[in-house]
Amino acid sequence: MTTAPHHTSHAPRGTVVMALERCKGCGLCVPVCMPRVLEMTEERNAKGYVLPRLLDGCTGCRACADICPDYVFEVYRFDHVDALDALDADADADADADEVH
Amino acid sequence: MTAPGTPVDLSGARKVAPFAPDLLQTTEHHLCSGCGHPVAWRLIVEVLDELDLVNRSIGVVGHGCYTQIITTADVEFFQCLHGRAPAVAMGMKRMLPDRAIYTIQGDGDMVSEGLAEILHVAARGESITCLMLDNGVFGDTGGHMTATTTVGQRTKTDVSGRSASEYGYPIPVADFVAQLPGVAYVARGAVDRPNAVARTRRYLRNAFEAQVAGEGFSLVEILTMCPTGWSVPADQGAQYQREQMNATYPLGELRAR
Amino acid sequence: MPLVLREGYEAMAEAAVHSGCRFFAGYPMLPFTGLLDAFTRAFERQGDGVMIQADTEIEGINMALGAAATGARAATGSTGQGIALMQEAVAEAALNELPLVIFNIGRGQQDYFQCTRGGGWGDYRTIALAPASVTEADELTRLAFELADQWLTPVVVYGDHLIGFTQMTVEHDPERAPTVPPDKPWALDGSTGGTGTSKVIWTWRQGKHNTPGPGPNLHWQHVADKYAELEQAEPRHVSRHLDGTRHLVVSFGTTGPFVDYVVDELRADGHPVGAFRPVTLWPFPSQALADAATRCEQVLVYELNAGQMVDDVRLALNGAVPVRSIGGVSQDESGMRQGDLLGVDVMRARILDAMQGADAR
Repeated sequence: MTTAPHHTSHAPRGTVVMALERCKGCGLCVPVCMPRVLEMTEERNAKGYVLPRLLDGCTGCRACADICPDYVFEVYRFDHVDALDALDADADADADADEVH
Repeated sequence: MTAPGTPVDLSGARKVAPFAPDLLQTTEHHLCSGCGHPVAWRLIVEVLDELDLVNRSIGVVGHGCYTQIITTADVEFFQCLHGRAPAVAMGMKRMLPDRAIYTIQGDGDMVSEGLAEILHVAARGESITCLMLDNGVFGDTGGHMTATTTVGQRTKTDVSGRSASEYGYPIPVADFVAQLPGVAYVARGAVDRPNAVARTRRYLRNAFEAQVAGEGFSLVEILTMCPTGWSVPADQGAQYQREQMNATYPLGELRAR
Repeated sequence: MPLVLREGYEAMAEAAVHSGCRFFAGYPMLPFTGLLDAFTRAFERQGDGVMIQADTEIEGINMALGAAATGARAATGSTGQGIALMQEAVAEAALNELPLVIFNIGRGQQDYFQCTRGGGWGDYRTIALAPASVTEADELTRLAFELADQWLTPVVVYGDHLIGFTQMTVEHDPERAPTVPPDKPWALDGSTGGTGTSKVIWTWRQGKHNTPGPGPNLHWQHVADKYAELEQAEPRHVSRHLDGTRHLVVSFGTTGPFVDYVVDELRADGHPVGAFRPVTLWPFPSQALADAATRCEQVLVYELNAGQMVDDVRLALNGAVPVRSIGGVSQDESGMRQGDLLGVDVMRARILDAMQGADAR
């Protein structure tokens, strides 16, 4: 089962396809999403777990896919704007600089 | 289940992350909500693929929740006795020196039951790669304390948190191993946030490269979330790990190549 | 056939290497240590072979398991106390159906139960071979590797210091071709990775998502069935003076030649006594023993322990013939070797006493 991003007035930079049937509702994806476009809903899958929803503004940074223990996310980027790619590079550099300790 | 929505329009899009590596025969597993092990599984399999080791490697897997990888990953495995994986791997490596031989063990497996094995094999400088998925609990048997449980960490043994006066202190085995001559590479990673995941993938890559180059023993410890064992909600597992485990076990390369 | 003078340790190591053994790991313990050294020399003479002096017995056998999983003919060993540490791994070898040869160079005869019952987990057996001499140790070492590969099982070779340290002449055919071990399609070498049918060796044998296995219940039933078949197919024994015997003396290992010597003497004096020696402690030659004892008044068991093989003798005879233990615990002052009961005079006295006792009843 997949979900679509909401209708947006400007071209999206990225999107995800979510296999929500295997989501276990852990919610780890929500805080790691850098543009903050994932939120947990009250919807549940057949296993009974609550599910995330994608809002506008996905950058295709793939943080959700990196952290998800249940392989729910498939991540895409739209390549149509050079400036947007430059913005992506900035976001990645910020991520690398982020201290873990 | 959300109402069937409009199919995502992917025209003009390129995939930057698949659901899971093709080497995983299924994405289904019975590990808990918020478990860090499947993230580590994914990294291991991705690195084997990147380094072209898929048909030139054998994993020796101990006993724990992580053991399920042997039913899902399309690489050769030997499921061995609790704690003994480094010894089994050494025997294999001596007979198949041109294969990548690695272990996947939990902290209970490697540091409780198998402390002698990991130290002895590391001291011998065998060119094998040992991987420890560390969550400070014996998850598979109910969540009891291990030799790596941090002070203050909740486990079934003591839900008020490990007290040093009663149970003593955890053993940072990666730090000991990093001091041994004959050890080529030791690193400690984590899967509680995406940049840690990215660093951990690089650590795994470095470790396998060290083995392939015959440089000696390599060890990568990966701190993984176990919200069930820690009695925290799944969405607080990453934060609890940072407070308890990452705070006790510094991340990074403990012995660089 | 040319004869060479060989110490037992050397004979076993040479026989192993000639049989294709290329991996040995063990931990020093007397009187096993001589075999460790002999394997080192044998591999050096061969020019290849991996010899590891492990840091613990448990590591030694687990290294050997790893080597066996790659398809190599692999062996380990120790003395009874060290074999005790290895029990979990012995069971693991059996339930994984991995061939593995385990040398117990014992301090006497007190490890019969260990060899035949084992202290591991689950429904498993190990073939146990008990040589009586250096010559037989050479033969049984070769047989051990054959049976291990044929039946996919661990095999124990139960010797002792007498065999290890004694030098005897053994036949040595320099033209004898080394054994070529069989192909092992089940062995791991990494190559099935990524094919969709990659291998996994696992005592639960559940297989993988794409290639499910039988699962623990069916797999462990299969292993049990295999051992039942093995039990019928592989018992071995030797005997002497069975014709007209009324008192059958049963012994194993190095006690055997002493019993044979005494029985030959007593027969020459007209006593209706015979000897029976299991060569396979497991599978125990139960049918052969029952046949040999058919017209006996009693079966006398001479073993240097508190009574271990006597249990299998009783099981084999199933109440048909009275059974008496006439051996006993007997170690020398050091505790490392057989004691005074390993002597022809005391044996003769005990056998005569037992025969007279039976006559008097």
